[in-house]
Amino acid sequence: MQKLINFLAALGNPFVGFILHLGGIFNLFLEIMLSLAYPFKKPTLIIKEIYFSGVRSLVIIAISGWFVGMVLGLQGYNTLQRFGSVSMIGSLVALSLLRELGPVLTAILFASRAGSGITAEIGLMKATEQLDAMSVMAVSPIKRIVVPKFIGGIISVPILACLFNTAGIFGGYFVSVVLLKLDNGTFWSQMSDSVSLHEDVINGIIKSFIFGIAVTLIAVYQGFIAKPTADGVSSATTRTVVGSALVVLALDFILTALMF
Amino acid sequence: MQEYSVIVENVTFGYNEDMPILKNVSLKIPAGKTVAIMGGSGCGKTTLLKLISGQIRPSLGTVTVLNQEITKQSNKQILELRKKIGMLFQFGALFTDMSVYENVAFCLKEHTDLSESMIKKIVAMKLNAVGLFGTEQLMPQELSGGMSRRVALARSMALDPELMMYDEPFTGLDPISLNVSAMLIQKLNKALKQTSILVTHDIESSLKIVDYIYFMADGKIIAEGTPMDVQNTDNPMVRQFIEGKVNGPYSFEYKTNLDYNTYLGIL
Amino acid sequence: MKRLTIDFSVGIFVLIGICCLAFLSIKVATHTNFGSSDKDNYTVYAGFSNIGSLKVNAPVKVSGFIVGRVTNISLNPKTYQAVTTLTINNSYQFSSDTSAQILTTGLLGEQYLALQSGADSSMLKNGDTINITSSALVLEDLIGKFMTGSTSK
Repeated sequence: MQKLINFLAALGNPFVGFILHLGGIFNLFLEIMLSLAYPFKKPTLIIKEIYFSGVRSLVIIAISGWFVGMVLGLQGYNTLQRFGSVSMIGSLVALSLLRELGPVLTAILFASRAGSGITAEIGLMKATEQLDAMSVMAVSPIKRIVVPKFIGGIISVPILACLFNTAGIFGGYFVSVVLLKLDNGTFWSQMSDSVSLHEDVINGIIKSFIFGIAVTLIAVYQGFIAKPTADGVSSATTRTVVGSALVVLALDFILTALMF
Repeated sequence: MQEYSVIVENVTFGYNEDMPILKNVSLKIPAGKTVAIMGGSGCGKTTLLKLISGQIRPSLGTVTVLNQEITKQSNKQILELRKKIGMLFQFGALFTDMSVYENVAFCLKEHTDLSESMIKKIVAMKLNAVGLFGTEQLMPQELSGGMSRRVALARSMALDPELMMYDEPFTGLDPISLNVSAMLIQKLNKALKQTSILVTHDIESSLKIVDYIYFMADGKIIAEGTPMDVQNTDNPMVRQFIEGKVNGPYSFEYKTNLDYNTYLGIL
Repeated sequence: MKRLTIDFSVGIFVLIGICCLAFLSIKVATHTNFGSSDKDNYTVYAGFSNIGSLKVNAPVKVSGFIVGRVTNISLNPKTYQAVTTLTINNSYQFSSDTSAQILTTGLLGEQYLALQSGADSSMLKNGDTINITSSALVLEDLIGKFMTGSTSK
């Protein structure tokens, strides 16, 4: 009997925790929405955040995109060759990047590059009483710290996703046209034949916009609930990266089901 | 009639029900005076400051600050009230991503519509008052512990608050910086006619600069009086604290239900 | 000084984003020879008794060259014909006795709509219907015909 109770408790405990987190994140989201207008009075705050989360992630995103595109080109070539339809490689690279890989990988890279930084920064500000100091000075930390980071994040992620896609398409171009001597014209015309502006490009950007909201929200939330110790901050950053990756993949499934 | 800046009445507070940190605490702080709250670590001093600044709300009792009962006010009203309150944190809590200038100017930029050149002048005045004029462009990590405490002091005074609270302002300072800080606190209080609350366990420095002292232990106020009263008291707990004796009513050992000898199996 | 470098790099960042988006939407997504706005195109209709697996967005080709797209497919409830809506670029004009045919790229590839221009001097206008159509070749029908043909002999 005792074992059964223990088992059920072990089952219920994480579930209750999950619901609590969900509630906490929702609460934070509402608070952010209520003070969304504040940083637009001080645009330098947003520009600074775009610099830290967006500009600083530029290189890693471009390089990753380039390599992902090259791998897609290579694998696509090997597989399509068997069916004699190597000419389809352009559309294969473009479609897989625009629809899935671009938004998803960008969001995950963003979470590990910028999201973890956001969590650590807020966690440390909490540990060194900077958040308390701010609220005692009658300035809401949500308005002053969180909202600019949030806006900066959701502006940066779609831009980074576009960059990732572009770098990836050029990576695929490099492999299939420059290395494997596929015809230049076939590559581009096959691509533009199968890619539609609304269905693929715009939907991909909508996806990355939603991922941007999710990742920055998780990062900010984890920073806020981090225990104010070195250990607490480090595990909070880990939770940001892992949690963002899971949420992004799950959201991607839902969005794909809704969109395509 | 004497006016009080802060009135705390029968306040009980705890983060969970079973372990109250403050038990039925009452105290009054007269306007324009400097009052110290003393006691060992973990006796609820910092919690008391958080109650007064409205960061947390008591489970029982009322807190009145500057004639406004903050236990009954909305968050928005508390934010308004906080503009009249300054607080110096234990380690300064300077914003590490901003320069000294931006730190001191923070409140001015957030709460006033002063022009940039006006703010520059005020910041220079505030920094000069703590002897740090010329450090505007430095970052907090370039400052020593004593200097960052003084910058934090300048920052908390930026809006000329009516009530200043100091949370352990002397912790971790060398004797010279400590005396400089104590001297500055006294000087600024007298100059601005502020009410000050000093939470500390540094007896020597605080006895010199305060008008009245409350002693706390285990979430209760155990003694109060002027510095003279305190030095001549025969309350055993206060005596132990002042003289820093190891043995006395105030035990340094952790309170536990376990018996040491039985635990080791000696008996 | 430091503010300026931050502002500058954020400006570059946003510019890169806009360039990438422009690249994606112009070079990658737009179909050359096929304008996207309504002004550049005209629509004609063509009914088929069987469209096979023709889909919306399939290309409309003349001599293998893409001139437009199939933008809609519906069923005429009276004749039970499938009516396809073809959106064709204005720069290509066809005679009114043009014939339409559904063909397949390769043996198993995608199906597309091929136009064969006629000899009439009047041209197809917006909203006209192509009358001469031949339906998609369905593999099962072909096999059926072949079988019955061979047995009747």
